[in-house]
Amino acid sequence: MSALTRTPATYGAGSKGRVPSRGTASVIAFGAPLACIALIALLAPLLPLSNPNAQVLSEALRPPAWLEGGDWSSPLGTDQLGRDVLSRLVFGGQLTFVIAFTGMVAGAVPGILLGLLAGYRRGWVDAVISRLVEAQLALPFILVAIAIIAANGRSLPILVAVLALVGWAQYARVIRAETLSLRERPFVLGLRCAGVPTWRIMLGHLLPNLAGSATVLATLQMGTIVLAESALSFLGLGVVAPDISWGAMLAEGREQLTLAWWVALLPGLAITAVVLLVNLFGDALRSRFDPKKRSF
Amino acid sequence: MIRLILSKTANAVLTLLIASSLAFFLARGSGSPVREILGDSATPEQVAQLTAELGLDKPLIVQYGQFLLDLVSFDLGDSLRYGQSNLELIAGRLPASIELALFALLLAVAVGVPLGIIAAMREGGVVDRIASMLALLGQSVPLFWLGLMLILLFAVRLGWFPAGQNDGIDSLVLPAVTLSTLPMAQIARLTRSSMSEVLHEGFISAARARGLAGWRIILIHAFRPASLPVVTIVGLQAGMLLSGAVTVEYVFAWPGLGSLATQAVQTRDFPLVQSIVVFGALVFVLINLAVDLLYGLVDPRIREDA
Amino acid sequence: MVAGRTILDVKALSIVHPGRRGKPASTAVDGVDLSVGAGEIVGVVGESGSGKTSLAMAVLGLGRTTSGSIDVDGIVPGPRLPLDQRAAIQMVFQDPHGSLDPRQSIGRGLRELRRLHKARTGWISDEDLLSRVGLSGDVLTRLPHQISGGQAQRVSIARALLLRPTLLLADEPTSALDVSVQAQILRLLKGLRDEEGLTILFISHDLAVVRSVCDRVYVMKSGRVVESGRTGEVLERPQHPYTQALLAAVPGGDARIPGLEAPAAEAPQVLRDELSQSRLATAGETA
Ligand SMILES: Nc1ncnc2c1ncn2[C@@H]1O[C@H](COP(=O)(O)OP(=O)(O)O)[C@@H](O)[C@H]1O
Ligand SMILES: [Mg+2]
Repeated sequence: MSALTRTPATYGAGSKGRVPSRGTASVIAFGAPLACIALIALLAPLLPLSNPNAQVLSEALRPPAWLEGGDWSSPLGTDQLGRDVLSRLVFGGQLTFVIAFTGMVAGAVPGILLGLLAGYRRGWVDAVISRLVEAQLALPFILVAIAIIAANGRSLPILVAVLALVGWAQYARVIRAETLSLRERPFVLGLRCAGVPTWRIMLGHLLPNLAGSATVLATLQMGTIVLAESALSFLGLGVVAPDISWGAMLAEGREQLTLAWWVALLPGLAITAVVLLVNLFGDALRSRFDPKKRSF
Repeated sequence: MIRLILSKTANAVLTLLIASSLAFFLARGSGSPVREILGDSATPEQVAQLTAELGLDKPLIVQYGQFLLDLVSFDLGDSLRYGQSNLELIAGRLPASIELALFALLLAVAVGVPLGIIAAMREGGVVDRIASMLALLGQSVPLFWLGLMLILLFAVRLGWFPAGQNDGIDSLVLPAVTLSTLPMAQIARLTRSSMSEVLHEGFISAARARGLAGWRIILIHAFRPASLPVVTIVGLQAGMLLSGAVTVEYVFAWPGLGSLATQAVQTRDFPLVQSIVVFGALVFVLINLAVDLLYGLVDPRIREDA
Repeated sequence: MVAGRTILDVKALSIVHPGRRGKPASTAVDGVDLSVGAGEIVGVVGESGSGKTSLAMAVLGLGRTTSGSIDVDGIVPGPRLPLDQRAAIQMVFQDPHGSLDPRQSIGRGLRELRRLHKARTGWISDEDLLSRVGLSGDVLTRLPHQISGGQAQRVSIARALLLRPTLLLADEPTSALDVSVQAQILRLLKGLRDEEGLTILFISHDLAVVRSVCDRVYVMKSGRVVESGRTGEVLERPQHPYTQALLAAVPGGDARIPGLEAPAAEAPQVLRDELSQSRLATAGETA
């Protein structure tokens, strides 16, 4: 880098050749295990696992391998119906991740667009959107989910739509606030004065500048959605047999709590671990993207 | 002040109206519950009859008008299964829900606030680290699973507390502890951050210079300003308690609104489900209105701004 | 280009910003008359809050106007101008880095402008354009935070120049820069006027800067023009007490940017005569 271009600004985040900060380190520290878990879950069909729905009644209620009566043929034990818990956990993780991701995207897209629109256009557009956001946030999520699922029956698309409802208002609220301040920056005025159309300013210029906060929000939302999905499936309103998710496994685990505690313990641990990692990862991303640490 | 109350109240009514409408369209606009209620074996006649009974044969806009009319006259309709008015059913379950929510909230404040204060006093210390780890865990754990594990440990293994039902203070402990985790985590976090802000302000050091004892400084000077944001969280959480309560009440078979909702959906009691949603929104909006007004009373700046 | 043709004509312009949340409405511009001839650099000088930016935003067509008229070479500025007319009025802002999209490389930004204004931008290549503002082609691949403030301001000028504007508005274009960089940018603007015949309305609170680049100057106070005329004359023999006070506030009393001489002496004779007349007229009105 030439002496000319070496301004104080170059020392900020994003410039080439800087030493990874603590922020970057913790992004990796929390992101890597998360990515591993997701990868294992998504590759479930390729792994040497037994069929998660195969019932072997003679093997039923076997505890995890390291406990008395356990067997390494089913390392995490079996449930009431003799199904392999490890295999169910991995396959359940697959659906849990897929649902959480689709639900997150389904909420992020409308939420971000509406937030952009409200923040950029202001006036009555903002008034209408902000009212809707407030109203949505006033509705207790689980109850709304129950009402929608009660009217429409259970299905994966309905579940994803319901989970999208958890998030859109949060995105819209945060993105609106950021857009309100971003639109006052002179470069937006410059683009308007160059005749760049409004939709291009919003999607081509404001959106990339909001990408950091949107990513942080989306990450944290993944955690919320995993919890919401597990709650709905636990109540029997989300994923149902023969499909497997961690929430659905917990619903089964509850019924055999006194017989096979590990069936309820393990999926809950998995959920907690993933949500915890997601939250830590989101926090790390946030401090990495923090606008105050950026120098432009 | 009168104008503030009026405008905030009008605002709250409007939000409630929109929220209820949102709930109406999300649930009813998306499909007819009749098939869900009757199941696949129902004859076309039965379907037609129930559709007419529920008023679902009318155009959506007429249904919506009826829904709004009922709403403003506080008529939430009748339950399909219980043959009772929805409002009565809700009123019958409300005391148990309030009991649980209040207890959980009390617990959350009683543990969360001191935890936050201690953490703020020794920033980066052991208590601070443990508290922030616990707060993070509290936000990451599925409540109902925590409930299950508490049952497994304290009811099934140790037999200290009953696993469910509402009989006596004993049975309140496990569900209240479970329900308190999330608000406790958030209250601790918020108390810590607002406390440390206040602790860094000048008048605390001035008080220290005057030689006041450590704890008196904390209690007199810092706690009052720090309590304002805590009020907000308590208000917000009171609304969220309602959502969390659904799964927790289900786990502990606690006879509150939450389990009424799960029963209603299992018995496909559609009107009852909808009434509970609207009621939930009402509670949320009312609590936030109260918090807003409390804020306006405490902090004059907010009053002027409105 | 016909010397003396009026490019910007502002008549009796008033701008009242409505008060928000109980605050009273504020009159930012109060009956301002102002004109800029082709190839002129005309300064607007005044302390902070005197209404300069409000005036510029109105001329740009993206600000508020309450009454009066603005004409930019036959165009009436407004928020919904056809693309070609939009391009005719360009502006350079105070904050060099803030004026560029932080996530867009300089080259991509120029390409975006070229796509939007195909017919208007074919006259020059990126490299030539950049060398015209004193930059090398290297900056094309850079993001705004990877270049210096002076470079960023040159990029902003290049972006405006690319669209061949009939009028360039410059709102405190050097206030955020170091003194040495300031002189370079001022020299650049003057050069563009001399070589390309660019017409510039130059806004500043800094008399030294105004003296070094502007042919004529309008002095604004609380939304009104209190004095105007040829820069040299206004600054040598200020008539209005406010101008005198502004001058007195400059350390040393002699407001000059090192390396830049006052332009008034070089201005064409026709222009000079016209200018001194207009100065007398305005000074008479406000006295
Ligand atoms: N968008 C706006 N809304 C309300 N008041 C404004 C706005 N822009 C400017 N003002 C007010 O108008 C006056 C003139 O401001 P401005 O045009 O920015 O002056 P200058 O550029 O000379 O500093 C100031 O009193 C300012 O507070
Ligand atoms: Mg200004």
